[in-house]
Amino acid sequence: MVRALIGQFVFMFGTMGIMSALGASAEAAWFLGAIVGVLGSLLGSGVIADWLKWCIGRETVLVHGAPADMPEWSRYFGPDVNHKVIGIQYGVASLVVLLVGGLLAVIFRLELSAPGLQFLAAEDYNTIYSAHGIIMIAGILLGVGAMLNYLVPIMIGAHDMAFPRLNAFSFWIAVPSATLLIMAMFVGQGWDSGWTGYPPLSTTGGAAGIFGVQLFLLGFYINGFSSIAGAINILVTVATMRAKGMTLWRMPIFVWAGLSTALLQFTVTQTLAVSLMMVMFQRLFGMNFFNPTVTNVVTGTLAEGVPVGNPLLYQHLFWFYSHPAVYVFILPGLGIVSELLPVFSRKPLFGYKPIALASIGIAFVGMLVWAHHMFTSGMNENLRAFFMFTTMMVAVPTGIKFFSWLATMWGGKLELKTPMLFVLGAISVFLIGGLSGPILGTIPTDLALHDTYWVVGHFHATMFGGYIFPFFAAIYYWYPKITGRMYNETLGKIHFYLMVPGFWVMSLGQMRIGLMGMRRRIADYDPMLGVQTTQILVTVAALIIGWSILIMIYNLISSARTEKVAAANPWGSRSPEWQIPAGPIPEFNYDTPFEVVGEPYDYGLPGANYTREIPAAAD
Amino acid sequence: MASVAKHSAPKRAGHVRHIGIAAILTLIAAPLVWLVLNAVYRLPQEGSAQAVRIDQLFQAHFIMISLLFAMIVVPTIYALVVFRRDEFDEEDAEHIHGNNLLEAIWIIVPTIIVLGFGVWGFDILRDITAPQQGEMEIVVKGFQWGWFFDYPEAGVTGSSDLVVPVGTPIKFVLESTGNNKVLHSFWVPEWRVKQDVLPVETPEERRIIRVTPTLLGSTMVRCAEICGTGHHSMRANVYIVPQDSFEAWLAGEMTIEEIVAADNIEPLPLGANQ
Repeated sequence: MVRALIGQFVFMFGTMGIMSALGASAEAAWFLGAIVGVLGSLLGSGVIADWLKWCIGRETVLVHGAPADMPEWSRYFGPDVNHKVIGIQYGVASLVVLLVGGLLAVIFRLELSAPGLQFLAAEDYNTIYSAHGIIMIAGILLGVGAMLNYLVPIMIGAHDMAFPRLNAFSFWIAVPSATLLIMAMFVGQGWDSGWTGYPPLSTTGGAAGIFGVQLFLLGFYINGFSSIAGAINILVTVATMRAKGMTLWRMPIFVWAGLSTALLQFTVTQTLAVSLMMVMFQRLFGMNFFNPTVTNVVTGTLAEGVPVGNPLLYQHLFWFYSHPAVYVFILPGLGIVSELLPVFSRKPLFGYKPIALASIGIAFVGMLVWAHHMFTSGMNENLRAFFMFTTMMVAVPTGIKFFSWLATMWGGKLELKTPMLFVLGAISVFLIGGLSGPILGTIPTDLALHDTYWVVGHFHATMFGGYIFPFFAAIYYWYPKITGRMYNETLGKIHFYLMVPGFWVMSLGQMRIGLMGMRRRIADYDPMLGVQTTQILVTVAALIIGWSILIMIYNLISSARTEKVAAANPWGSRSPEWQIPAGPIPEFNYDTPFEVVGEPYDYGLPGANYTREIPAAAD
Repeated sequence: MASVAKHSAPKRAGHVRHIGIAAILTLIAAPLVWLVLNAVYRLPQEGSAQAVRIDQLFQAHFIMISLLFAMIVVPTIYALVVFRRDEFDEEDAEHIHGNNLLEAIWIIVPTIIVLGFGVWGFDILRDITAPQQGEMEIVVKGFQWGWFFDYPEAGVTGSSDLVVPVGTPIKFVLESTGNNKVLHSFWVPEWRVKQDVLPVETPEERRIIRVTPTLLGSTMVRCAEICGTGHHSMRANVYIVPQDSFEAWLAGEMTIEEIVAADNIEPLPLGANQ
């Protein structure tokens, strides 16, 4: 980890020194420096060492376990090929990055607790909210990587991912990407176009001399490599490495969610890369893609002979990825909810097949709704109506999930342990997000709500309900398997009872002020709007959420040493990973391979088994 | 199998009773949710003919939200209270893995409802964007960071206030201008509708938004699309005044301050549902 960062900075500043000596502009120097820095990071961490050796004709073997004469824990700080180690690396990185993004949110929530500019200048506010958006997204993508990496191979009975080296690469390329995104705040006076980076504001329209946006674009771009490589790995692993007898309809439901997620990441990330690259090139080389009128930045006159562009082009390309990206975040989360509910209800998952198909359905419909982010953009009128209908259709597969979850709990024997509480929190918060959605989907009402805090409340509820709460549920649920010890139940419950009501207040409050006329992305608001009391409530709620997460992190760290040793299967789950004996999971997951002989969620059916160990003789 | 047959009759009765109670509670809760929703979530004043149509859709959405909220939350809370595992109960719950009829219902009914909302929304959209008889054109120019308003029919240009006559359909023609032509968005919350202001190559590409103001008073146009440092303060005063005062203002016979005093133009109060 340290070597990766040193590599990045040494290469970056080295290149920048050369560039400056050659007389390049600060922006160009930073840009090339950042690219070379990413390479430096990869060389520094050593994750591409094997591939480089292959290039010069040397053969290498896949080394498992810690490097010679290094302790076991050192694996977690360097490139390692084991999917569980990589999963943990993703998870910890995710929490760190989410904390950074959350801290930014707290800063501007404090600023917004009163009208007028308190302690932030408008430029700084813009940089911070922009960075909050993209850093949270980077953190969520890391968390998605954590869940998919750790859980998918172990759930399907594979010994590892299909391409272990590529898997390590996916994580280690995300590290310099996250570094760049965080750095973008401090370089070139930050940026002000939000995580969406709409041109012309992100190209020629920003204040003179500000170019933090360039590092943001590049960091976001680099992150795409991580997504695509990770998705390929998941797709191939699920397609080829399932245990004997595990047909598609007998996979744990989370694997279906992972499959849908990977399909999306694999197919749409490219258009984001294209749109980001176009903005970068427009800034650097003056290629005009998005400006209908081209002003020469130096002379202020209309540039001659430059072809005109169209700002809506960017929005289409950008949302073609960035809307499905939302489903990349929530599908694994919804998968966690479906995975955990049967265990804590002691009942089969209600409607396994419809839920699995709903995940695929959400992924598919999700690719056809991107322009609902553009209802006020001035796009073609007929297209606008088409996207209203596709958007409304998302409600159907989402509804299937809600009703199925309810039917799973109905008549069950519910046990409210911390993971189950977070699952319930997720359902409640995702419900808020879901119910506030259709009103944005019908164009006439969206014309009133677009770019207001209603939207802010809506997507925070979908992100928290669809990702953050399930992620926390997953952390508590698999914590005993990962660390071998239980977490502290009391602290877990305190975390829950602070965070979930806090979140309700926050997102419902955001929607209220949005309806009253509070616009998004504003550093200051008009006291005339009458939103101040609610603003204070929202800020207090945000602080409570922040503190509760710190409680969780304390719990996770301290319980690993002090809490009681966990049983092999403390939740009584039928899933294969819980059939592994207590203690550390073997390097290749299953010392004795298993075959699938039944349905995954047959709780309450006497004598029904999901998996059976294959006796050694049968091999 | 024998044990299943033995227990099935009382179990079925239990199912019916639980579902019945939850259904009744849901029906009681839905109107209460709706009342709370309307008390907490207040739209600004309904200040245009377009807002009237849009608010009908808002109301329908609110009813739907209340109903769905009650349908999910009430049975969930009921389940949390009633269907709890006893501490030493090691047995699983009943083995129910699905129901095709229920699945069909909760696929088909929501599909019909959302398509209905879509059709209705499309109808309203067509209404509020259709050209009106006797439209007046106002050119809106958004720049970093402020607004100018031109009245081409009267030859008035560069007004920093937006003054409009009540009751007249207006066609706003939107254009981004200034040294840095970036995106802005034209929005008066009382009028509901919103449209991004784009930089354009030719005048024909300028985007259009139609509003027929119906309430006298003053409010503000606020930029709703991030446009740089001054985005938060990109505002302009809006005065909705009587027709004759408007004509006097256009002709330069009255200043806006005089009209505000003479016609008693006051800021529009908050909240349509108060």
